Amino acid sequence: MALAKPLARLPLVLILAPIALGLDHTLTTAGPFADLLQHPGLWRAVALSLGPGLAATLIATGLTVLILAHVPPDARLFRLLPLGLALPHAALALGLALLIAPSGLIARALAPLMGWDAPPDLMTLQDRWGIGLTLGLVLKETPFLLFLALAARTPAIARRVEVAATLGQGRMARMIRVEWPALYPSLRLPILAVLTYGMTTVDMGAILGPGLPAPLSVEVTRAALRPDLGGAGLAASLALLQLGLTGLALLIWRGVERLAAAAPIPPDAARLAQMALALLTLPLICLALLAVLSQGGRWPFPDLVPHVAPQLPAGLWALGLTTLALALAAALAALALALVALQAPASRLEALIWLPLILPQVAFLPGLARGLIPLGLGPWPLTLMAHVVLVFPYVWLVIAGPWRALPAPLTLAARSLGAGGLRLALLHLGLMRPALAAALAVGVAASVGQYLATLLISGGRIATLTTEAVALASGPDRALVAGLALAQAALPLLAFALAARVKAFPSPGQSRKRTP
Amino acid sequence: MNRRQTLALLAALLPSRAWAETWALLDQARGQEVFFHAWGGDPKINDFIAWLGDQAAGLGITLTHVKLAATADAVARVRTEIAAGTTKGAVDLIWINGENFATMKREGLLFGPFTESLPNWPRVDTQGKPATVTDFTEPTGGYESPWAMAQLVFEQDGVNTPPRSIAALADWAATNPGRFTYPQPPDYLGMTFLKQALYALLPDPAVLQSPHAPGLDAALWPFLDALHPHLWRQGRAFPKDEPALGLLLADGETRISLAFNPGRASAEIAAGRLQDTVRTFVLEGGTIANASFVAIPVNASAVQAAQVVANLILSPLVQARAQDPGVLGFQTVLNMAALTPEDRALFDALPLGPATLSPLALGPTLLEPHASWMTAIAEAWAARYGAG
Repeated sequence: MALAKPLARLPLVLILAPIALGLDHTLTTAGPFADLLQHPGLWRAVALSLGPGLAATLIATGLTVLILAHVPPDARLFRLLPLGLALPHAALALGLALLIAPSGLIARALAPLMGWDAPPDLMTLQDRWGIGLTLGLVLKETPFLLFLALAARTPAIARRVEVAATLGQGRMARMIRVEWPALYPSLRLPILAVLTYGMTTVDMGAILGPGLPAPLSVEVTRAALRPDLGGAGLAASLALLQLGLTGLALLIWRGVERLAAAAPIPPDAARLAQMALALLTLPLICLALLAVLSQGGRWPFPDLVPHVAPQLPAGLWALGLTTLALALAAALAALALALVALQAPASRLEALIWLPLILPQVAFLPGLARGLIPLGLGPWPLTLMAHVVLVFPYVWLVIAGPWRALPAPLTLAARSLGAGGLRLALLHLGLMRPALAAALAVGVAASVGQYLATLLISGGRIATLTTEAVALASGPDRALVAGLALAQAALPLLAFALAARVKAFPSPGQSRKRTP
Repeated sequence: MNRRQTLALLAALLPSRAWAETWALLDQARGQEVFFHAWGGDPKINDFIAWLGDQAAGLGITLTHVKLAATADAVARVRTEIAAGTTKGAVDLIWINGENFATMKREGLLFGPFTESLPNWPRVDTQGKPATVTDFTEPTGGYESPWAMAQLVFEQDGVNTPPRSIAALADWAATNPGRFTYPQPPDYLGMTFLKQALYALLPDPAVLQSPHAPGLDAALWPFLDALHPHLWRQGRAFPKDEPALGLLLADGETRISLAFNPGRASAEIAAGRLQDTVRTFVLEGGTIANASFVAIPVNASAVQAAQVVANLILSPLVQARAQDPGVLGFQTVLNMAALTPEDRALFDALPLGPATLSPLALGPTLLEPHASWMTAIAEAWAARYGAG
């Protein structure tokens, strides 16, 4: 391709420089290691990060394989995927909490049978073992992996599966021997992202995880929110521990990959796959629950429906517009940078792209803010820059795999037919249309979800649906929080729904219609 | 807003015409934009700040509420800006108290002293409400201006004879397992509950006013060890803060709760978020009280307008609206005796609200212990109960 190699490396530098700034700050503020060991419940917090993170990734990947093997790709339920995908992590956690808490919908439905006139004093939420947190992560991440797997399933892969079917292979055997090995190169990065997300999530950890102690990521945030400077030191050293822990988990995942390759192929389980798919409707129930609650004032136990006192959050449209503008700009810029960076051959340097995902945000954002503020730019350019840095890894993980998997023979054939430069690039972009659209949608969703980056870097001068929702989530008005969570979900939902409609090239049927 | 309304507002804002001539800040403030960083969790408070913005607009000031989930976010922002040498900072005014204030004051992050030069300052009840000039035993030194009084109250739903002492509360919890809890320290309300318990448990509560020394808190831990098994979730989980605790009461998970705003229950009932059977009660011997403040960072962009807003907050008009149980139910920081009869009438006209105690029934107030107690107790609590 036409771009010189150093130029193609520039985006990496642009993305990594701010992170290096932030990291440097984390390293210099980290408190003594001995203080870290004194932190109450440290090892339990570590276990609550590693356990749910690994378990949820394993289960979500397993469910993806199971569902892909048994459910045809044009199944109607797959059309609902964007719904679950677009639901922000915090919103899903909130909805799930409202479902399974002792004062939640399930307990209310059971109340007449059990004779409860007050919510039972049971630890169904924020359990000590992080089971609720794992469930929340599985519900959030399985649709994500399914979405990407469907986007990565090229016609060539589909044909190979058909061939395997004519050879009489079972569904699971076809999946694991033929389809999954072809898909996995595109899915590996997203799966690792799911793993790191599960271990570093703050919003899901705080809502669904236990509090005594909380998962490590939540402990980092708590320390960082302590007003005294000692809190910043502890937060920084906890964040470094989190970094090491995530590295360890990635190593463990390599082991899991080896074990999985050697494991025997499980038998077909169509019914289990249906059940797994049914489980994925839970986020939709959460969404519906949020919709009902957003209309509610009081929700006394054991009423199934809240007392209705409809209200719309003030300034919803302005907030939505700001959020959308920021998200679109950040996603487009990140995608452009990613495409430039992809002109260079794959390199080990690219592992650094993961840093913003692996590092707890609260530990490197203050350093990033400190680095950006002296530039003297307004809140918009600064916040956009921070968003691009944080959105870039998500866009990269969607686009890098499929781009690198572009069939070399096709490129050669195109070249031999005299296509070069621009035409070749257009051909590639045409082939990549679904992945490009998916990358944009994921970028928009990632930008919409940013709380700390928006607040800290803009100094509060840019209010988005998310900053508003998180601020209200710390308050007593559940209906408003639910309403904002829905509004927050609407933007990514739109993006994913649009992305899901993008096809690589017009299908033969369509082109035939156009040329009679 | 027309000219007559502006004049009326100015009259309400200033104790006498003389101030209008001498307070040059009003002119300098006109046209400035104040970014008010304040907790944005409660729509009631957000609406109130929006209304305050309308009042400020009458003085030519644009007031923008930056909604925070935690005040520490704003502290971190100012600290970062100062470290980076930014003189035109993003934060003009912060809703603050306690540790956040002590930290900012200690690190030299605050503008001031400014409070005593505010035209409305003489109306503040610094004698009757010493918490308006002492924030967790830390003298405010004029670096923060009070805007509301807070006092620890208890709330109950369907408890016939509410316990009126810490010991009686523990007994009630033992006979009603799972129906009482407190926010997880170091949350300020959870810490206030522990400090209130210390007042009851220490042989000589006067030691709370001097710095904490090892062993002084010994009586607290056997009490908590005995109490926790009877709490909500057997004390194995705690709500994270005051709003989370309030939701437990609203959902019927708990039947006795606590709040730092004596008017909270009435205001929540008025907002339709709490059942109207909830009532407020206090403990015999008094409960801990403190004040909420606003402070101005040393690198604020709109220093003049921020002071005008701090002064506006101290006007009887604004204070009376904040005290309205249908609005916020916050108790005023002003001295009724220092007000004109017309201004006093604004307060006399306020209804009490269904769940609120009269000022007399609220009983005596106790001082916040020295700030070192808070740190020591929070650390000891985390070491004892934080590891699960």
